[in-house]
Amino acid sequence: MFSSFSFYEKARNKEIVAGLSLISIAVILNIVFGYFAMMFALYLSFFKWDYIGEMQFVGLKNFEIVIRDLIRGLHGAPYLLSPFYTGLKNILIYTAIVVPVQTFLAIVLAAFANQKIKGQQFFKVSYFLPATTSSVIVALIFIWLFMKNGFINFALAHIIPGFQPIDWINSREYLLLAIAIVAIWGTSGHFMVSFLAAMQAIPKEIYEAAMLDGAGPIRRFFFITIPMLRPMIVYVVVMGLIGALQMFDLAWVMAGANGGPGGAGYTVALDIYNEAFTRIRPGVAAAKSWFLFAIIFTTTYLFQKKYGRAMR
Amino acid sequence: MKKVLVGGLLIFALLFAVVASGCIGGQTQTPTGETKTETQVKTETKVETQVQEKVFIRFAGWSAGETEMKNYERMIKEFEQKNPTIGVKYEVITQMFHENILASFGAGVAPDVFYLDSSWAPIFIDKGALYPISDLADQSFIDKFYPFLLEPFKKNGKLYGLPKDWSMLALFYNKKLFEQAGLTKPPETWEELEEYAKIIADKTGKPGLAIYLGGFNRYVPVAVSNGAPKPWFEKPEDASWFDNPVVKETLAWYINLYKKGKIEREQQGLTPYVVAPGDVGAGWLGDAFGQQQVAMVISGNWMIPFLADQFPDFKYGEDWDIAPVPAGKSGRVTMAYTVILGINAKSEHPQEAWKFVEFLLGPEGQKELVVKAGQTLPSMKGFENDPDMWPQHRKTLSFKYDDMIVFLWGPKSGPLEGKFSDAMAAAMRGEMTIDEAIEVMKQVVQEELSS
Amino acid sequence: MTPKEKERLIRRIWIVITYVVLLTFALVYLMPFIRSLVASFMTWAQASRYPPEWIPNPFTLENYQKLFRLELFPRWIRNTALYAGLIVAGNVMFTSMAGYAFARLKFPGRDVIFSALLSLLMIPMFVTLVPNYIIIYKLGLIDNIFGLALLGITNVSSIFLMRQYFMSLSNEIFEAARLDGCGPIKAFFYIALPLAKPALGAVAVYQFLGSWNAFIGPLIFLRSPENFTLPVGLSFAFQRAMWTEYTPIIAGSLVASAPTIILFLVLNKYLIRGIVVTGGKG
Repeated sequence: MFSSFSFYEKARNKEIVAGLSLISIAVILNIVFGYFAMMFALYLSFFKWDYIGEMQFVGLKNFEIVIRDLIRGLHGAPYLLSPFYTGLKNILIYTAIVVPVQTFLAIVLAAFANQKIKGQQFFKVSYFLPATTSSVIVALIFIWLFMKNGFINFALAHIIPGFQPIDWINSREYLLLAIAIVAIWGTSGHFMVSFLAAMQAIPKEIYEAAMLDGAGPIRRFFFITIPMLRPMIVYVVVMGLIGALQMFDLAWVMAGANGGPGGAGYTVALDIYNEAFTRIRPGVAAAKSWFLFAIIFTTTYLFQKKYGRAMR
Repeated sequence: MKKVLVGGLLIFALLFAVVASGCIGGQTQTPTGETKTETQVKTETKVETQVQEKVFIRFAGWSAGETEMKNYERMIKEFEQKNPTIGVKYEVITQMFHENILASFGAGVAPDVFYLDSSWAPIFIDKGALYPISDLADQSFIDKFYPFLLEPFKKNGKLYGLPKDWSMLALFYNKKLFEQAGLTKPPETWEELEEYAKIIADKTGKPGLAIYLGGFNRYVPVAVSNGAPKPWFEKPEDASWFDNPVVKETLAWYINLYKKGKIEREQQGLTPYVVAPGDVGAGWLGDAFGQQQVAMVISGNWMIPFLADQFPDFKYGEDWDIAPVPAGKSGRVTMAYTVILGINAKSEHPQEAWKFVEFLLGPEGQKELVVKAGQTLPSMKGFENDPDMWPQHRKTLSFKYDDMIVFLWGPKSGPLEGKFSDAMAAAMRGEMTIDEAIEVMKQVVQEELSS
Repeated sequence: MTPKEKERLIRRIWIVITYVVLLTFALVYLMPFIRSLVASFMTWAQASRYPPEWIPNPFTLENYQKLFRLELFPRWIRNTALYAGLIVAGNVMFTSMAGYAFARLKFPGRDVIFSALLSLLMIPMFVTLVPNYIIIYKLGLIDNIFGLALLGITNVSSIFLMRQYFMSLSNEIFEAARLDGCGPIKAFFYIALPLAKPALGAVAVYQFLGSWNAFIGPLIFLRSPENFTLPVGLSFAFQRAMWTEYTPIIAGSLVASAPTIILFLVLNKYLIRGIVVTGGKG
């Protein structure tokens, strides 16, 4: 009794030491390069500043500005007068479109690319190609494809009878959708790689057993592949949420710093940029960042809590 | 386990050592540390050891490619030869330039000398970030510059920056399309501009004029040339600029250019006579003009190197020409866009920084870096007939204007320009009425300048 | 129809469906790439023409020549390779350790520390620009590729990826190792790491991609043109204050994406062991 207790005790201590030492390098580096900046941002959110002069303590005033913006937006103020509300509304819609679609597409692509068929290599590379180009270049190419007489309208007109060409980039209704399409196109191939990796961890025996039981490919996909991929789905969804809610570069290129027609492509990150560098209110930018942080943290936390518990 | 830990730390330490010594991979050493500076001094000036310590100043700009970088490097070398006690470290920030300069001010590590666009200047001047140039320079030197370019950089009798170069708006027109339409000369007035655009569209099937959706700074010459005061927004009450009847009238005219020239014409099934660059598949006015999709644009000197470089077959003089910006009821007005060289007020070596600025902006520097490069106009008087100046640029300099407005509407120029343009664009597309747009613009002024 | 024939028919149909889906997707994913490949052989006057043209006329190598005429181009490639190499090596080494610890070991504060690390990804960069300047300048790492690399060698997203992968491995193998008296560190090197090859491959691909295309970091912290990485160098060479030369940038980004594709092909054997998912046995 006594000896086995000490055995467990020793093993546990060993595990604690091992765990802490394995994470030490990552934690130290991130404290130096990450948390200092984060604490600075927290500090900044209580100050009025213009980068050049002295900081001025203003208490919660910066947060008040954000809340007033939100209230004004809820009462239907035009977007120029409630930028944060506009950005938030847009980015939530955008995220609700992008994250599920990109995740699902990434799994589907990985599942297909993981099959032993001829030309599999070619398909894999073609799905991966969009991810290799930087998003600014991607956006530039797509602006051109999305033009009124561009290739996308041309293609849609051939697929959908009676299709009227859309001026995607200059339209209030379609700009956000166009940005979302570009994002999905670029990231689904990116996240495909994660799923390809995770699929290698699924034991073959499970598939073989399922086949013996007469389960078809679709059924195997939904009842074996997807559940076995759960931890990686958590990764892709969480990273997707973090990326989508902070989306900046696509909107910057496709919609411009002011969010394009009627602010249709305005995002919270654009608004934070504008606060920090066009209106020179870094304190307000920091306060808005904490609002965004709270939203990202809550959504990812809830998602992880529901699906992403550690195994032991 | 210990082994692993030690191993990990070793790797980490090694990496750090590499970083600290910075000796792998053939990195060119840039003089950043103090020690380096001193050793250089010692080797270079062995005879007069310790007479004077070499001072390093940091100079930051954005880029116009490798050619410009080499020009600058050559000039810097020349400067260092003439001033052996001063070293210059040239830093390039290719994008988000002012954002980075601001952030480096915030961190207390801003460069000694840096570019500064006119629209960003008030922020830097108001907050005391710039060293007053008038305390360093001789008045005779300052007098060599175009006076209207200096105006925006003065405050309380002091001058805070000298322009390194500038550009101005002019009318670019396609001679061939003009010929096809039977037009013999460029439009003289704003009314003629619209009229000609219509004629060209009807006769050639190509839109006569391209303008930006929005683009407040392109509208300002219309207002001022018709008698409106120059826009200036410093306090919330300045929103009353938009109540001026001339402003209301000209703004309506400008917005209607697009509403009538594009939207209504298309509803009638006619060729639009005014378009935005995007309507003809172009990224900006220069593209639309270079592709010969439109006959006229009002744009700046930056068009000139662009057309020469990207559309070499579309020739100045034969295919296209330049004319002054059309006149209004009370004269002819154009916009000027300029970039100054600022000296950091917190610089430890303002004297040396000034020496460098004086060298770059002096006649020698302007000749090499501006006139010969052909990208922009020299900010110093006296080059108007320089044989090295591109003829296109020379022509823009020869135009006579009653007024030149430097792109600057007060301390919040950047955000105001963006938001005004947005409201104007919404009105052009017909998403709101012109009166609604004016109302939004007034609210924006009040909002931006209230705190 | 015998059951066997039926099975064969179903398999055939399935293969046809697979190919149709794969090809459609390939077309959609490749189209912008093909478009930019074609445009890279055009003059801007033609590439920007409206409506779009697909055959370069005149066919020009000027865009690629413009790249190789840049004296600093080879330097930028070397800088980028060095930067990417450091980032990939650092991430593969350090984040696999951390990911394993977070997924498989029990120690106080584990989940809190992990959440805290993850939260670092949730702050927009614009508000951390100033403190980053302070740190980089104070450490004397400005305009230094090694300094820039130090910022990214333990990327939180890689730790997260490794953690999730280690979580998806089955418990039994680790339990068995433990009962055999294999300590946690030993288990990492002899059991976890060999099993983690696919995830390490994914981390390597992601980090290579990220660092090879990185723009904002190098833009802010590298200041001499000869120290630039490729994306910043391209922007330096072809973006003017008022306009941009697009065709050389497109050509440059095509040249730049080649190493990523090669790396992806090389690491492919780790990413794919070829699992039988279709009806056939290979």
